Amino acid sequence: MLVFDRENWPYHRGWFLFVVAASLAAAGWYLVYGFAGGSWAWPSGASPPGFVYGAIGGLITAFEMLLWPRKSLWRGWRIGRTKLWMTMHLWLGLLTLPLLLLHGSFQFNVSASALAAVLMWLLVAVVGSGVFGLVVQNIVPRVMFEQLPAETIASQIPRVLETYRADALRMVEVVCGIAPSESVAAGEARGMVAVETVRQVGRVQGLVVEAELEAEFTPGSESLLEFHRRHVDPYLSAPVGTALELGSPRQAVLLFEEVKRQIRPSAHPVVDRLADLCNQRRQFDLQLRLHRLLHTWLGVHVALSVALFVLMIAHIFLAMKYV
Amino acid sequence: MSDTSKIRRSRIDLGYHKRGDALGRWRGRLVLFALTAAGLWLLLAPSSGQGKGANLRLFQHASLASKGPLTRAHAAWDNQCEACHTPFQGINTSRWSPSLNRASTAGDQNCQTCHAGPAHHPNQIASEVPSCAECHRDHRGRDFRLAATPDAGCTGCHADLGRHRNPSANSAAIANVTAFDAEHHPAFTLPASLAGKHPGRIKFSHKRHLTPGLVLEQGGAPFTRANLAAADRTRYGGPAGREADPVQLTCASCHRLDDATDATPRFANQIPRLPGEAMLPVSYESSCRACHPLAFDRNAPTVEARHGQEPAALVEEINRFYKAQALEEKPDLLNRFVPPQPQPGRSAAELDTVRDRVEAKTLMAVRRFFGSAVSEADRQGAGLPLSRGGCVECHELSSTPGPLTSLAAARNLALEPVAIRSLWYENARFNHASHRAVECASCHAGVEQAADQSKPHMPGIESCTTCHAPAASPGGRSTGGAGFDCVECHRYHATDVAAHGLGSPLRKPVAALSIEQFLSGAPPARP
Repeated sequence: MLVFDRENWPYHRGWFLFVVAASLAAAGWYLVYGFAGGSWAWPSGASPPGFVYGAIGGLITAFEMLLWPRKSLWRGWRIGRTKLWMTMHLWLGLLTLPLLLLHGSFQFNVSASALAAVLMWLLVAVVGSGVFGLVVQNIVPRVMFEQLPAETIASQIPRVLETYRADALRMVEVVCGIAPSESVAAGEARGMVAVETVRQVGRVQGLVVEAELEAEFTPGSESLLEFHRRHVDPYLSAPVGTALELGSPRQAVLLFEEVKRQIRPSAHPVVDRLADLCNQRRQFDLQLRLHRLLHTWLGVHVALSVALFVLMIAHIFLAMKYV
Repeated sequence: MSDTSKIRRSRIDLGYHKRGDALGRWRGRLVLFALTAAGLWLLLAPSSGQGKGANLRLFQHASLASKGPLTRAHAAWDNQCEACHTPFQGINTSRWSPSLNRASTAGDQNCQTCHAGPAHHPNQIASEVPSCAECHRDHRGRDFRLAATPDAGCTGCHADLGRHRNPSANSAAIANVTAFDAEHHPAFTLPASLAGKHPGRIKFSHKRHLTPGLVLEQGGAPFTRANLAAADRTRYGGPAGREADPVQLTCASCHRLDDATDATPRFANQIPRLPGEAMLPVSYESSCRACHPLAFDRNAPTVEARHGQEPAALVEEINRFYKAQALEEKPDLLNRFVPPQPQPGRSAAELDTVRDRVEAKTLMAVRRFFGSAVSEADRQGAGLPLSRGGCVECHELSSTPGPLTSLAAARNLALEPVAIRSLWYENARFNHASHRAVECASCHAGVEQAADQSKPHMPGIESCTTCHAPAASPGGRSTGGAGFDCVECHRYHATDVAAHGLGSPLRKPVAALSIEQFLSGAPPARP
């Protein structure tokens, strides 16, 4: 959810001011209560401000946890707009940090009180991972928009690459005369094929499907076959992160220039097409890395939140029983 | 066209969103792990710690409770909840937050194993007496002062004491207290027995004694270091100076801090005390004798009458001295036979002469001690020292002596009893040593100008609230800042002694424990 851009900030500014004001008010009451005796004494979690902050923080935490079933269980029965849920999740979640730190008197010493300290650390980790996710969600989509015009569905990248790999092999085999073109096989004139390629119009760039002339046999293209075997096919079929020469844009340009010099110009469009496929592959690599960054934090955030919620229930039970 | 965009799009599995991806599966496993880890910790932790008590059940382990460390004095029981929580539940009866348990005061017995104490007040209402933990809330850190209880524990009753004391009790009303300032705290008062008069019954001028040379009269001869014995010159005349320098007394010349080395009270209403906490009552021997020796014979300046005896005893003492002196002058008097009754024809003129002279000297000394007029010629004729008033310079006679014409009349004299107090305000504590940096007159205002002892110069509440109040800077002048809690001056558990005593340190435990019992936090069962 974008927050700090020109378009969305006015919507979030009110929430931001509310959280800041509520935090300052909470700290103010806490300080006044702590100094009420003339000298500073940490208000306990059972003191009036401590209990109020704990109760509010606990209720907010429960509300924050509702986002999970709301997304996973109640997909067909959504209460309120998603944007409102996310906004409240974000800002009320941030508010829990000062409230619960004050409630717990900043007790981070595990040896002193294990459950209270673990809750404190979990709270910081949950809010920290949430803030990290917010920052990532504000930055990564922009990076992807600008640098990944070939972006596709992340889970389908291996499937798409298999398609690209088959396309590349088909083109090379046709050019090298190993396999007949589909037109030749059908006894037709040279036909058109649909290809996915990156195009830019003004500032907008993206993956488009274009009609291209089908490749045709070009004598003397054996070096292209060898190039495909040694570089292109291994690169298109390699797992993400494998260090290959075509993984470097600069190295890729040099390699494709070299192979162009070795074959007739009539086969150059096929080389350009192979270069385009490898470029898309590089973007897929970057996309997968960004995708993991964009989604891994959520797993950590949710897992920590679940632990925090469970332990918070235990803490409430213990506190109510033995305070 | 052998391939179309539609075919291209079909290369993406259109039902991909119905199947989870690797990240989703990883997230699910992570959540399951977190859930399991948290659950296992809660379930297993209670059986993994040391020092479990018989009452420990699930969720009762010390390491799980958000308990906070005990104060240093109780740290041995940090993980032994039953040392105080018997049964295992909250022991703070006044908590305001909701609880699943009804708090118990049963744990008070455990506290009183070591901290026995008297009831706070005979007129207290039993049902309103709080549990120990209500005021002394532990689990607030090693350095937390359990005795520094919040004022609310006191003002809960003392803000409206009429509703919180036994209505059937017949005792004087006590003013309400809500805070420590002149408006919300009653004025300091002396005990009713001291109202309106100085109990010491000593004639004493602080003004004279704090004046250089101790002389107020214009042109009067100053009292100098030369008038002091060499051993007293440092104490009363300063560490250095010439013999002709006038003596300059300070408060500390006479008023000494009690070092509390003697556990046995030596004075009336002397309190259990800490070293330096109280001032020793001024006594003749410690503070007056150096300048006011009870010498009565110029020819025997080192001979002094014993202080603190009744006039009749003093007469006898002086009389014995002059008899001894007469015998010393004429030892053969001892060899004279003195018939039990006058015998006809035998003259006792010489003996009578000696007896008369001894009685005359005795009478002269006694008259000087008790304020009867003694002419200068008689004084010199009797060989008496320069007079500074004798007994009646400081003491008051119970009745007007009239002319002391015989020793028999002197023997019938009586002095007003003296009661120099160790303690003036009996309902609060005060530590002089803690306030040693402050001039005495800052609190005992006006004492330097007091020409008599018509009233005790005890400070009022305004002397205290100058410092013991919230910090403020009225007109740029800093005031307040020192503690002003009730427990700064008052004790709850020691009201059976004046000034509330030292509290717990003076109390014997209900039951002495072995070291093993003490460390285990398991006091012996009581009937």
